[in-house]
Amino acid sequence: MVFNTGAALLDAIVLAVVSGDPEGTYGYKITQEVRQVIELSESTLYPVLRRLQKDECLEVYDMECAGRNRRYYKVTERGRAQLSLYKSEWKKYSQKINGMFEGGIVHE
Amino acid sequence: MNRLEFMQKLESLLSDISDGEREEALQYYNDYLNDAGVENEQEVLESLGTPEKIAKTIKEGLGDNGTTGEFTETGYKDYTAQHEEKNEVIKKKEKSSLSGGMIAIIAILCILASPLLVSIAGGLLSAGVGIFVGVLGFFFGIALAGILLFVTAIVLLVIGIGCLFYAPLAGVCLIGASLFVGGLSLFFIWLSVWICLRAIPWLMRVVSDLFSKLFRKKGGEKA
Repeated sequence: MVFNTGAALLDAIVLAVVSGDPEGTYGYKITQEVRQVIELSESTLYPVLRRLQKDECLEVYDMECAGRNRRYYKVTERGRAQLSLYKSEWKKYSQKINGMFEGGIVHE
Repeated sequence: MNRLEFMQKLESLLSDISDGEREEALQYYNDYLNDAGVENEQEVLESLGTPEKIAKTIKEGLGDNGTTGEFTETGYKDYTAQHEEKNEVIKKKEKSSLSGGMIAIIAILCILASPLLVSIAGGLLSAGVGIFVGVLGFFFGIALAGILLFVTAIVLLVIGIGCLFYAPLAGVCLIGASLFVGGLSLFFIWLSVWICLRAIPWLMRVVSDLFSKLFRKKGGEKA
């Protein structure tokens, strides 16, 4: 990966991945989905998930699955607001960068 | 390292954080390994990294508020440390480009130019000295010739006057020759005086101009 993914973009990607499962999703699945988009060391996501949980963007609940408890993550109302903010910021940012790359025209 | 050892190691490494945080983290990784599947266990343990690395990541995540770093896809990054490092590198580069580069260029120029400059200066110096000595020799020759011709003229005049009494024709011839030689000697003496008063100061001026030009040029190249 040539470009670094900063903390805000990583938060946005995680929120987007988790919000893709309205019933909630779990750590391993989140990691695999994020890794489809960006190169990510497998141990990186725990602190991100934990922080988003503390910031009340994610909520956790345990659900029994195949005879054991599995921790699920689900996007909160606050998390959704945060995600839509990230999305609109990303749209503006990427359009500006694209415009510049494709010949100096910034599409508003 | 198998899964049990891995989890025990991680637990002991996390013994200095709160019980809640430790349980949270242990549950996450326990779940993670369960979901990865028993058949991939060794592979997943390897790709997760060492328990030390994971414990470090977890602890850095806890100190998130008020710290200077952030999480990226490559893990935790402390930005102040990185920036300081970068600044240091830039400073080092600036220093080396100012001192090392300049010194090297000056040294190389001096080394390359010095034999050339020395030989040019030596050549011009010896040429100047040669011309000066030659001119002096020429001047002395002319002066000496003038003096000798003058002496010859006087001798011829004395002999001619002596001859007038017993061989008048030879005496007149000798007096005429002495007058001719005397005129020639006067011309040579006049020429040597002219050289002494005009030509030598002029030559000196030319030589000194040449030297001052040479030294100015040399100075200009150095600066």
